[in-house]
Amino acid sequence: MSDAAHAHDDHGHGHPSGIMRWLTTTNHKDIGSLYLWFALIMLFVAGTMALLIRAELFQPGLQLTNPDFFNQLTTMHGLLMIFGVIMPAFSGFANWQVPLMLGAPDMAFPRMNNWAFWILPVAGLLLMVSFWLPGGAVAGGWTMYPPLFIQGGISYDLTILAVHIMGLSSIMGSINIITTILNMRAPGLTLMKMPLFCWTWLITAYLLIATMPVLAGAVTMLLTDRNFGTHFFNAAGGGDPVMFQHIFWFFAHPEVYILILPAFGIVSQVIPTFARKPLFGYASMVYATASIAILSFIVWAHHMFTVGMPAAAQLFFMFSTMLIAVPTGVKVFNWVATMWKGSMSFETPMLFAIAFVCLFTIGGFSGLVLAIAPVDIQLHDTYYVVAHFHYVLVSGALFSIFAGIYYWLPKWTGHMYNETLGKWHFWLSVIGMNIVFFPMHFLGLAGMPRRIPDYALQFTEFNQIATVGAFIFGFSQLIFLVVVLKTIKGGAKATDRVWEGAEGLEWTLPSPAPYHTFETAPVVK
Amino acid sequence: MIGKWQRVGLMGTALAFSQSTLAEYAYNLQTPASQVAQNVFDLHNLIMLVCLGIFVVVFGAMFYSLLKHRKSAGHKAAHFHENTTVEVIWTVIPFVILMGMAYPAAKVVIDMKDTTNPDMTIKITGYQWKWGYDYLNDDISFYSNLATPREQIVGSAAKGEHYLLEVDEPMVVPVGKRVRLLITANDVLHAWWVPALGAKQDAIPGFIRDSWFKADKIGTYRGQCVELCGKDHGFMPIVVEVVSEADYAAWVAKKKGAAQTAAADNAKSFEIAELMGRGEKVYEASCAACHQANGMGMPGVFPAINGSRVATGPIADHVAVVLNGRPGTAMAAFAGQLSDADIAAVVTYQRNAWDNKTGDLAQPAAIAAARGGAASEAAAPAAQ
Amino acid sequence: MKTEVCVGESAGAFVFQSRPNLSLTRPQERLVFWSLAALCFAAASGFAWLGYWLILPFAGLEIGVLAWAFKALRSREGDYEYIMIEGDVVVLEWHCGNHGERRELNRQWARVECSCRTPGRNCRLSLNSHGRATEVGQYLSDEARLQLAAMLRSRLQE
Repeated sequence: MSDAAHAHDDHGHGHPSGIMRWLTTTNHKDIGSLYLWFALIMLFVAGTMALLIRAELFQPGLQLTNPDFFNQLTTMHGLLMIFGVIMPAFSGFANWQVPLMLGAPDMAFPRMNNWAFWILPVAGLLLMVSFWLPGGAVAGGWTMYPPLFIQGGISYDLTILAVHIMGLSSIMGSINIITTILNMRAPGLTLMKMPLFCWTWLITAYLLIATMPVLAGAVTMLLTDRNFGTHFFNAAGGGDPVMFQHIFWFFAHPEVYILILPAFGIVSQVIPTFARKPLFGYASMVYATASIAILSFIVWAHHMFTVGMPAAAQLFFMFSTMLIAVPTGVKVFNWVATMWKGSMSFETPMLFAIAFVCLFTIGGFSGLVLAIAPVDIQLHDTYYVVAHFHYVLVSGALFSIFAGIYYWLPKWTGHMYNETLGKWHFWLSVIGMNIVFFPMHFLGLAGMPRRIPDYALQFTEFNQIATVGAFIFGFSQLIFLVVVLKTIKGGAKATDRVWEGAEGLEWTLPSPAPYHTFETAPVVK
Repeated sequence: MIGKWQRVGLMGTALAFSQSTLAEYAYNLQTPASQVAQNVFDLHNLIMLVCLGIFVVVFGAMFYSLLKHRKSAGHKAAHFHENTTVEVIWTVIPFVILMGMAYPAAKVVIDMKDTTNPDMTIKITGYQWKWGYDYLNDDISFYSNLATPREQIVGSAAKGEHYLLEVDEPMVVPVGKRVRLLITANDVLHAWWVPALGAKQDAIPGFIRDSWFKADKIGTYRGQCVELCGKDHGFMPIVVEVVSEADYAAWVAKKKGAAQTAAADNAKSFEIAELMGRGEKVYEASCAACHQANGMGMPGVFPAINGSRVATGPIADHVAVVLNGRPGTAMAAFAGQLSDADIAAVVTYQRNAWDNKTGDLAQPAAIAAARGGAASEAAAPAAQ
Repeated sequence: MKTEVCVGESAGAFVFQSRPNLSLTRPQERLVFWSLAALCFAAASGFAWLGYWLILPFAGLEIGVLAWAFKALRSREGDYEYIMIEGDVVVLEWHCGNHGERRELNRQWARVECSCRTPGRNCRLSLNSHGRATEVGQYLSDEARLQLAAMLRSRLQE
């Protein structure tokens, strides 16, 4: 019997209490919360690693770590932030919000939803445990390039296993989201009337399903190269290490957009609410998102301009990469036009959304600089790249997650968060974040390579500034934790609509949203 | 222009956090020393100007809106939510700007890729963790190791001016000559980069990729490995000394003399004290990064040599490990990297240093014999 | 297909019919499934052609799961609940996936059973007769289910 029917049978039964309630839950709201808590815990774990990295880089010389442990930290920080924080957090939003926004009672496959979440902590545990294994955690970079990745110890095999598990979780999650969005929309809610958040997740899920087998295959070939004597990536056996990079980035460039498209969706919900004005250019937003997704399949080699490819290939990937600036620009212009002549107020979600638009655009500009192949060849694998992707992932993806939490938390908990603390969190985060990452542009331009535990003296000043910023940014996240906990415990009662300018089905529900919602679909005019 | 804008942005931060003068902050790419690097420099400035222009226009509009169109200022929300003309315009204009940027960029790409008509060719090989240089026209070969002493890295000695950017044997090239680089690697991926010369290329084991540069000015240019290659990725710098034609000729003559001395060494028989002294230097340069200066290795990652079965067992097995490496691990084959005399010295050192008091002595002739039939090609790097 | 809940009288008979809400149309399903399958297999075959064949089995597995998921959705296409009360005959019909049945009860013997775990929440509604219960109102919200219960009670007691 299908999951759907199965859950159907469960309908109306009570649920077990305590830990079993969470282990066995098939409720989209429970699972959404689980994803978000997992992401929050991982944010602090991987953030602590980042602080260790920055502390080591506070001055030249080796003080806190040895080079091998440093490489473990950078690798694990990358893997955990991508697969343990950003992706689960967006899945959490999808689980909570997609059914509420569509007027659906739950996800299409609730049981599969439960599995998709619960294998995730297993993968996280496998990664974390490797720190205590002989040889330490994986240290070959989150990109897992062979032949370096072939050299490592047992933790490298565990990492491959963990990546497989996280991939499986993503596939199950994506199939669930794609079927929910397509099949469970309330009557009258046509695709082009859907909230933009659902659109961005629909496209994200599509990208995930399209690319995950490539990742799974790539890491499996690493595994067989390591343990079963194949030579996929070993030149001595007729393989090609560069092909791994082609395969990996064929997956990982769409993955980059998987990490940012839902952010576009969240921001596109938040800005119209606080501008008290409908989203400008809804249709062009949808088309822009789709174009970004399509382009993501033909730009992968811009991550590897320095491997030495023919001029024609370089030109092709340079032009296709530059093209991405067009739909991305359209999005930014649309957000600005949404604010234009609105009636804006600046609650914490709006502040994070505005910071997102500004700072993500700075990340977009450095992306444009890196798209230019000759400049990229100078800047590839330097701190300029580190600055670029942290502008899109921290002030992009992470800030949108903050915006989304502040925006929907009153709906989820029934309580308003503390606005003063929220503003403190915002200002410290946005200032701290810029102090960490802006100087990294200059470090990269001056020639500091990434992934080095120690550096030449001329890089000292900017590194010190960055480290100070990192500690401001890192510790201000504790405020966020306090805000969330306080809001769950109590606080001013939230109204059903919560925000004056809020539009959409989720705001027609009571706050907090009841455990079961929309068991009969509402009708959208 | 760009520098000025960036300076303004950072001035406050810089003053607040640093005790040193602003002059030490660099805000742009390194001063170019080749035409390619100059082209990249100019291209970067051009793009930054364009970005700056777009930034001012878009965020000027946004911040105006943030100021004027706020609820607290009593602004009432308008209700428009699309305008096809505007949307088409702001799709087309970026496209046109991009085309304007693509053209100069494409010219530089084609120039960078043109490695024809070199005046000289150097083969560069990345090793964990050093660089090897083979001058194909002059028949010179050598390795280039980090020269910064360990004490400076761990903080027990003051750091020198070129901390981490200094090597024992720099790559030397004549000024104004087109130098073609054939870049490859021996073990894992590396990347060879000298920013001021505008040349960066990944070093890929089993494949040779080429790049080129023509240095315009005499001087010393420094760079680093820029592809994660394991533990000491941050400790394999690149130094290129660009010298006059005459100085280059003198350097070539000196290197050839040194090569002859090395060849003579291979035919010699040494005393144990000589071998130990020489062996310690070789060990520091080639082994200590993993096996550590005290021979204890790193548990779980790199095995100890002190007290190990290899270093205290039969000498022939020990020599075989050093010559052939251990496939599938980080232990490299040193047959192609070290001369007979150096291998003899390092084996002798490993068997007699620390607690390993075997009293064994290896001579270059024995190493040559252990190399077997393939000896003549792999004997010394000079022969490649 | 839309959620349909019809309650009404037809020629003196009480009729209740409901279906789950399914918004995916056939052309949409075909577009999504086949484009994903084409993309996955194109990429996997491309790499396989270059010798990196291990992506293919994963692509196959995944598209298999996707096909199963869409099939599972399709299987709910025919789901419905139907209750008709005419004279002394109560007709119950339901269809869920591959299961379904038609039951005829005697109006005099049919009992409405409605229990809520918490007042007004998590309610189950069933029609009992001769010791066997058949759950009804599965596609409804708690409120609507309670309304249906009231309606059935008044109908059965006429």
